[in-house]
Amino acid sequence: MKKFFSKIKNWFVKIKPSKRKIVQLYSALLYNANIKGFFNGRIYEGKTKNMCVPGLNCYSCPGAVGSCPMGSLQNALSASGARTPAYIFGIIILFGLLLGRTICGWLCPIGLGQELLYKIKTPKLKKSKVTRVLSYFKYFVLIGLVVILPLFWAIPGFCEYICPAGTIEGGVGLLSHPNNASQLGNLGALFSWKFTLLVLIVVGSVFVFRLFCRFLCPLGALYGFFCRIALLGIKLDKNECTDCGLCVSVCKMDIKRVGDHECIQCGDCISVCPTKAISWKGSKLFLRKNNVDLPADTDIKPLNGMLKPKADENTQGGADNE
Amino acid sequence: MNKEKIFKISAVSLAGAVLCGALVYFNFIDTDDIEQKAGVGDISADFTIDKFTVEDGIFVLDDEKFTLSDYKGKVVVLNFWASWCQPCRFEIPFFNEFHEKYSTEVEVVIINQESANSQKILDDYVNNPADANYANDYSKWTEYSCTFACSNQVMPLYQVGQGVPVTIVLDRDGKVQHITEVGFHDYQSVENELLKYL
Repeated sequence: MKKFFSKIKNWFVKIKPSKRKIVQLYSALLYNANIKGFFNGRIYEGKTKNMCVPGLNCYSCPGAVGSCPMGSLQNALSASGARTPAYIFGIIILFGLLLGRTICGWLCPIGLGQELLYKIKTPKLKKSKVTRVLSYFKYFVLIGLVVILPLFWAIPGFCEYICPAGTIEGGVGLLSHPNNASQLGNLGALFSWKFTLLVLIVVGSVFVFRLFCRFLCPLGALYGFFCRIALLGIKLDKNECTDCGLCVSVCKMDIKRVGDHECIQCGDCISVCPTKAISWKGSKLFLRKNNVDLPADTDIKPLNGMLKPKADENTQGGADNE
Repeated sequence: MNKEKIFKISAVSLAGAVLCGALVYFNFIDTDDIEQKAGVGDISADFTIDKFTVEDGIFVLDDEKFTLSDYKGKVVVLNFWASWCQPCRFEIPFFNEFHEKYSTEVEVVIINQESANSQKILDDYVNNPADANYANDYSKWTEYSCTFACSNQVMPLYQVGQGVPVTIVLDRDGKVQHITEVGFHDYQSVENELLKYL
């Protein structure tokens, strides 16, 4: 009997979610606190909908209590003949300055969904120069579908043609309720396309880490512009860094350097740095020097020796020097 | 307990309180109140809204407003639309045709859901009733005899689905007789669905 309970205890310690996972789950639940929406098949339309959540979460999700920043941006640009969308610009800039892509790593339900899918045990596609090139595609999504199409054709292009959050949260979320059954007759080619894309992204995310985030997400592309100046996030101490390249090789995103525009500030690199050069911005305020948080995942083992630096990796740029 | 632990506990407690507060608020306090709105069989609330008349193919804001109670004795059909909704733009001429055919018994009111920029929206509608995807014989039609109004205060009075186009039929005493599902109607559907309430 005792053995069983100690087994349970060990199992619980093993599967215990990391701090980051807990924050991701928390934010996903908070953004969708209107659970009654799933039971009555209606979107919440109260005052809190005027506020955007920082991550990608569809306005039309029955559970959503806030707006989607991408949806709001496209909507505002579509109507910008009437007035400049200062409010949504301001909110996105505020999120970028405060958090940058820590939103991607900690506060986005879609990022969470992809990471959970990736946990399914299959062979995984490793990142490469090809994936690095593909990661620039999301900028085309941002410029073409989020800026140009709404601004000049009043079409919310990303919402309409791509966004998997909309398809699963808004589309499937609403259509699965019997009160909305009459809308099933209104589905056409567009829904077929979007649903196919959703299935491809879901299946692909099992094999490719954060497939949507890396290659398609315009919000991640946008927040990436704030990587150097965001208040919170990962920082690299250039004095301690020996260019060993371990951080880049452990990282599952297509970074060239820790903390660049591809970095989702997850912190997985912190524990592998042999010289403890990587830490959280602002960590001096809350942690003692060299007391860096270890992730709960135990399959990342810091190397004691140093690796040959990769020939094409140069750690340059505006990393903070304390 | 050192400062760090106090800070951590406070932060976690605050976060927990916010989440619990949100779950309680959205699910138990801020309820939909959809039962308060008029459904089929309920008397409709009265309302007074701006209306536009068509002069020489141009919409002009009328000095007189539209008041629902003025039309007791006539069946009133309220059709809700929005400028960005193509199926809405496409079905408006069909409702106008229905109004013209049965004008002795029915008053059709086409209500735009966006309360701002009404003049601009209606001017744009006259020039572009429906885009190329929905092109039909009515694509350059500018003769309307039904009432055009603009208000976002009317649709919330009823137990309608969350979308446009949606249409409500009120009987001669102002009682809600029928609420359509959200979706497009061609002329035949308009007649089939609404004629029985006249």
